[in-house]
Amino acid sequence: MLTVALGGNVRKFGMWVCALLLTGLVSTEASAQRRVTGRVTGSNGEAVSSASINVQGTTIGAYTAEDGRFTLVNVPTGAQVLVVRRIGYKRVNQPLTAALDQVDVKLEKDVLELERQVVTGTTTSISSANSANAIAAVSGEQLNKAPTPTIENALQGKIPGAVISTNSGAPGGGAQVQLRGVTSINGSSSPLYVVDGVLVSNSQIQNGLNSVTAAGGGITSNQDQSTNRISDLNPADIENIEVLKGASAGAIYGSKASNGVIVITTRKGSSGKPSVSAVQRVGQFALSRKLGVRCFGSAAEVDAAGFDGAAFTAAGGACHDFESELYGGNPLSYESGVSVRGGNAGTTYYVGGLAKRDNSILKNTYYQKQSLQANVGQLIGSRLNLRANNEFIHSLTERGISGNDNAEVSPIALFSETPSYFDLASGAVNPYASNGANPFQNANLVKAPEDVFRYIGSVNTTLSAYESQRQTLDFTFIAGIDAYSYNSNLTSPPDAYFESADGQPGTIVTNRTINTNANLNLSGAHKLIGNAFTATTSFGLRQERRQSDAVINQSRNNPQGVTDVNLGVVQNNNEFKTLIKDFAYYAQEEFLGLNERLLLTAAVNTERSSVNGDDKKYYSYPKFAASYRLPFLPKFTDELKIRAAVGQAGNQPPFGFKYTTLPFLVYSGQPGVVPSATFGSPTIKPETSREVEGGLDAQFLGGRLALDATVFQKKVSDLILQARVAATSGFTSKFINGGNLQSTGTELGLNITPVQRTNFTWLSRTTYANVDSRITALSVPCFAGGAAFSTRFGAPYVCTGFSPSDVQVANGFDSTFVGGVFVSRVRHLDNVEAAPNFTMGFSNEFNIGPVRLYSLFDYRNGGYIANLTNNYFDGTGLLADTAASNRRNLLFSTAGGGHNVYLEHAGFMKLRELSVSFALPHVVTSNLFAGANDVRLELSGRNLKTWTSYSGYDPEVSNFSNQNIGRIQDVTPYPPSRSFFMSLSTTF
Amino acid sequence: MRMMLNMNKRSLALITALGFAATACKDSTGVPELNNVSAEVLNGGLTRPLTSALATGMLASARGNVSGTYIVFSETLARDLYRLDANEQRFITETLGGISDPSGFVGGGVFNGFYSTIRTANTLVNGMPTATGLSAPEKAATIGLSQTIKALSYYRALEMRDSLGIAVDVNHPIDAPPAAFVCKPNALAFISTLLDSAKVNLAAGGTAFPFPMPSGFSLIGNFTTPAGTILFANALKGKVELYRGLDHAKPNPASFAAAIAALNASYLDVAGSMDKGPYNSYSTANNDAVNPVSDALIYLNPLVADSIQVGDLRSSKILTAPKRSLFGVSSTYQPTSSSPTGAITSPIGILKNSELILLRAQAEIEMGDLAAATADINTVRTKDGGLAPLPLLASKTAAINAVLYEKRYSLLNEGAQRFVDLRAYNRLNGTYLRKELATDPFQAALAIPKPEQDARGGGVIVPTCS
Repeated sequence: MLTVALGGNVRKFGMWVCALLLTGLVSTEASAQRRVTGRVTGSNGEAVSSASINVQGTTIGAYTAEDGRFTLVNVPTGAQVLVVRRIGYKRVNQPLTAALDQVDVKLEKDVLELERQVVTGTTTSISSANSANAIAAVSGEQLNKAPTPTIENALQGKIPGAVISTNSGAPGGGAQVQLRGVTSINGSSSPLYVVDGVLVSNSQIQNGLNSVTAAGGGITSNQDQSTNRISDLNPADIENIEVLKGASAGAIYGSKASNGVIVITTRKGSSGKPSVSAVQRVGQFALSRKLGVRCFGSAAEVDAAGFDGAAFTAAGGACHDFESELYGGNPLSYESGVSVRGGNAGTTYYVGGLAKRDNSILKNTYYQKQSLQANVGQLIGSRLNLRANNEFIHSLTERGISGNDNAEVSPIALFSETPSYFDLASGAVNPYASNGANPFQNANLVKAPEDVFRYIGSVNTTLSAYESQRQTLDFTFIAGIDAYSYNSNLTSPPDAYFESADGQPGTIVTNRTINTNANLNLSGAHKLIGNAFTATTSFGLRQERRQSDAVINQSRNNPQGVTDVNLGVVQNNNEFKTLIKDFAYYAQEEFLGLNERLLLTAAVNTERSSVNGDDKKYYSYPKFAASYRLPFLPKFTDELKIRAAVGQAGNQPPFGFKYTTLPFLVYSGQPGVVPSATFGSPTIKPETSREVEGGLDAQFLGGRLALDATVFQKKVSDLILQARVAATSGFTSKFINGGNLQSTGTELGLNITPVQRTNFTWLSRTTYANVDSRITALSVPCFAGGAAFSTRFGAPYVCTGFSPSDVQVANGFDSTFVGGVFVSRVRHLDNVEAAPNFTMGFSNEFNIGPVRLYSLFDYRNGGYIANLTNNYFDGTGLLADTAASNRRNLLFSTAGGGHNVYLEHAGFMKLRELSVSFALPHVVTSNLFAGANDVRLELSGRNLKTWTSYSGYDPEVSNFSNQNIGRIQDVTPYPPSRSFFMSLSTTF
Repeated sequence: MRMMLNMNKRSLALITALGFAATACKDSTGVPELNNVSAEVLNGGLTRPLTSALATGMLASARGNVSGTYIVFSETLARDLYRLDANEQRFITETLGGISDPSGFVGGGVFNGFYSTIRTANTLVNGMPTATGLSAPEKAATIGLSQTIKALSYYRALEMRDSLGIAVDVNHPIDAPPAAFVCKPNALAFISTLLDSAKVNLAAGGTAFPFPMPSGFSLIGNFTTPAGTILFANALKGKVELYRGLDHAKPNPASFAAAIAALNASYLDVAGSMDKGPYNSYSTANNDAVNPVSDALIYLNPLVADSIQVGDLRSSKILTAPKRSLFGVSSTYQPTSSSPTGAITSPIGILKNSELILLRAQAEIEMGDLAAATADINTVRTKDGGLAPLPLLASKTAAINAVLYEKRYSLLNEGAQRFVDLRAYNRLNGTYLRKELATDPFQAALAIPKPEQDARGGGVIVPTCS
């Protein structure tokens, strides 16, 4: 049946699925009735609820109730082993003699979280003890150690192999997650995000700031300092995040997985009486780094610098610290969260609500979010489990003006041309800007709210179609949707001083974008449990439709006081639509044998997509993996696992790369078309990433020390390139599949519990990762790719033998002139590696009685960033460090040899998170908060301190938002901030 | 133990559903281009509406080549303008302060657009033989106009790159090897021949183009017909021939006479309006373009205001402004166009009658006919400048000085004319000009953009010369 519509390969594949299905259904035996009861407790005798108890080698199992009690039925006669598991505790294999029908089990806390379930497919998972991949997991608790603007911020420094960079200091996010280095040059740079089985959107939508800043492009630009939309998620609703870093783990996600897959599971209910958690936070954002503006000592010095000495004298020799004046005095921020979870045997629920507002450092900029998560599970009869996950989110972001600016409106750009004796904070017309712009006036008048209403929901139906002592067959149907509407309304009113400069005072830009991702996932999983092995066969299909429609309107020359885009003399409109249709089949076989020591996995995903040149062609992504837990261990060693995995994944061509277009323009009232500058590829296909990964996981000293080590090699072929071509052809670039790259890397994790006593525990985690990449083949001449300003400042360079994150920078030259005409020049070009050499994370947590102290440091060694912000100031000499400006000017000027002075080291150490919390004693809580059983007071901070040699604001910034290559441009960004919060959390 | 049979039925039902789901997705795997006209429409051959759209696109593209950077870079190098943008010092540092960077927006700029226009023109020329819905004269007229616009685009590309050369043999598919660069004399000869071919086609082109022409082509004079376009082709040929004659490397002596002949066959008219000629027109309509020099950051080089003669009516092009100093230069003057209110839709002349008259004067100077040259110079001087006529110019140098003066003020802030002349007369150096900045290299051409070098294997591109 499966095969009706499909071609040869797929038909064979379908038959294989059917064959597997039928073998799975071969029936087995019945058994005698035996009933086993017992109770599971923790080390202090407290009841452990929701622990799973399984009879080893069978499908028979149960969960403990709230009092820790459980009942197993149909237990085979004879001696058995009960496997008892609970997240947060170490697994126990409890022998059960033939005579015994009652057993109590004691669980020990798993402080290092060594044992958990990790995903292996859409509906399958396996114990981390057996996992054949290095899958980084971050629990909800680890995620929420300190208040965070967005989920990416909360992950920074916690995942080895993930380089997570914030694009600017603006509120509300805008961050890039890069897993295991660069995997694409011109394809998508984003990992795939999956929330409860729904493939969600992480697109960046531009608010049209370019209409005011003229940074580049049309109504909007990738320099609009936009947010990527995964920031909408509420970290507090997340139970767990698992990061599949590459193709060897993510093959089952096919042609969207080569940048890695981030699998997010939201909180679910559990049976038991309702448990209410509430948290209230109050905090403050503060400017964390300054460039420093120049103070003048005398009128003569002012005149010498080309400014107005008389005005300096008239101002009484004032020196205004513009940065502190503009980026300060912002009101308090708050966050309120409440959640309820509970349920009974048939129904479980989790409801979480959040309301927060981050008031950021630039006046009138903020990020506001309200979210409601409602997850309900219902068992219908004994075989059908229905789960509905719903997340409603509203976010409102106001980021003001920042970033690259060719119109003298961005605050830092204006600071670079306004001498400090002028009182900008007065809001007066700025005589030093040709358009009179004053950033204080702009902050009051120019509004750019971005309003997002988002719904992410899924219905997950699992049918236990067949169950015996040795076999289970489950079918799962997941229908998911991620829909949002994005509404931005940029209003730059005609009374803003700069608005008159273009002769069309007033600018309004609205962007109305509707984005809908829908996916259907139908899968089956058959588990066959023998005495010596467990074989899990899963198979299924997935259909997706991703659709967006952006309508962007711009009007200029508006009356004062209006926000309606219709009310302007000059109108400009734009629409951009996308529609992507994907369809995939997948199958996976997992074999766990040799007393749960050996895991073998084989899987394949085959997928077609409308974005490929041949939209009917299926591309296949296989995977093989194995792990083995060594049976004979040296002294002090509890566990030693070796693992290896190999897999393929793809990266789809972005929408529209297959088409060559005829852009539309108008002249004198007539419609016109011209061939586009970029030549599309009718044969474009996904990039393919082949990854081999091997590693070792070990535990020592009774679980007090755990080490995981991974090495990987990744080869990406058919790189999707927007290759530069000679413009004399009439085109400037073409899309092709035309290159290969190779990466190798190492990831290490060391978790230690140096102290573990009843009243004092110390938990320390260290991660290390490096990746080394090379472009190994290119079918076009080497070219400057990615976003950049100029090789003089540093621009990405795509060339065989070089790293994909190579940056080429001019560093002196020899010129030849004949008769005053420039004839030739031998340029000295340096190549540097823009990506870090290695990254490390250090976290430490101390629990001393009721006090918990936690810190997280994030370290990046190496890498480069182009500091164009300095170039703005060097031209005017208004940076406090005038000596440095002069030195740069001298070296950079073409006559001085055109030396590279703006490319700087980007390495840093940041204190990402720091918190100290105190659990109020029971006597206090029971008197103050009736019924509360855990009340904590916490002080926490984020990005409190940065150690770096970088002279700019923040070496993480990216003027062009998320980029595969070339996210190294610092152009008058929104400055970074540190945040402090005080929190009170309670559980009832 | 539950019943097996029952279970199998359910499973089968699910598998059937699976199969149906697979079948259901069969018929719509593709998605068409949703946001633009797809180039696939060209595969069916050109039709009348498609020809009209491409012709409008070609003219709009040619208009776009008179960009802010084209005018600002060439006029800055010709010591007429400064663009004082505190946020972008390269407008000064890579023009007057140093050599343009081939990978940046100065050395890498003012290039791609010319070849995009040429590609559009070639699409029309290549498509005419098989085009449907057009008469033979209409096809000839379309080819003639396309060739004229191509010639204009090649010429402008050469204005900016001069002795570094340009590529001319570009009518090839994208995957063909990059076209060779040819030297300036070859390029000028090629453009001249192309204009001859354009004239032949236009002459066979009947009385009207099969598409409407932009309003700027009938603003002063009528250039909306094949006959009007022949006049323009002759005007352009006259300009090209003059600079073939003035070329340093390989001057072509016969060109001066050819220039005068071509100019005389154009709309050159000593009795008519000095402003006669086709114009690029602008509007604020959706997807249309506005005047590229209605830009508040454009200042005049103080030399412009300091050198103007008393009583010159063209001083109305000069406004005083608050002093602005940046990157070592300063000015207290702006061109009228910098005051944007109203200027955003001002048309810009492509080749005005005043320029034609002065071009003829330049050819006359080279042929030793200073009397004719003086007369032509005085036509512009009196009509455009309102100044008293000059007595007979006694020397070639005096005549060149006089031409340069009239050209500067009649064509201020309109294009590369003065830049080309200073270079042609060997005046782009310290003997004739002051250094604007200590590091002023007297740059005579923008660099060849880095992608051109990269596409040809990197390194310096040596133009071929025959």
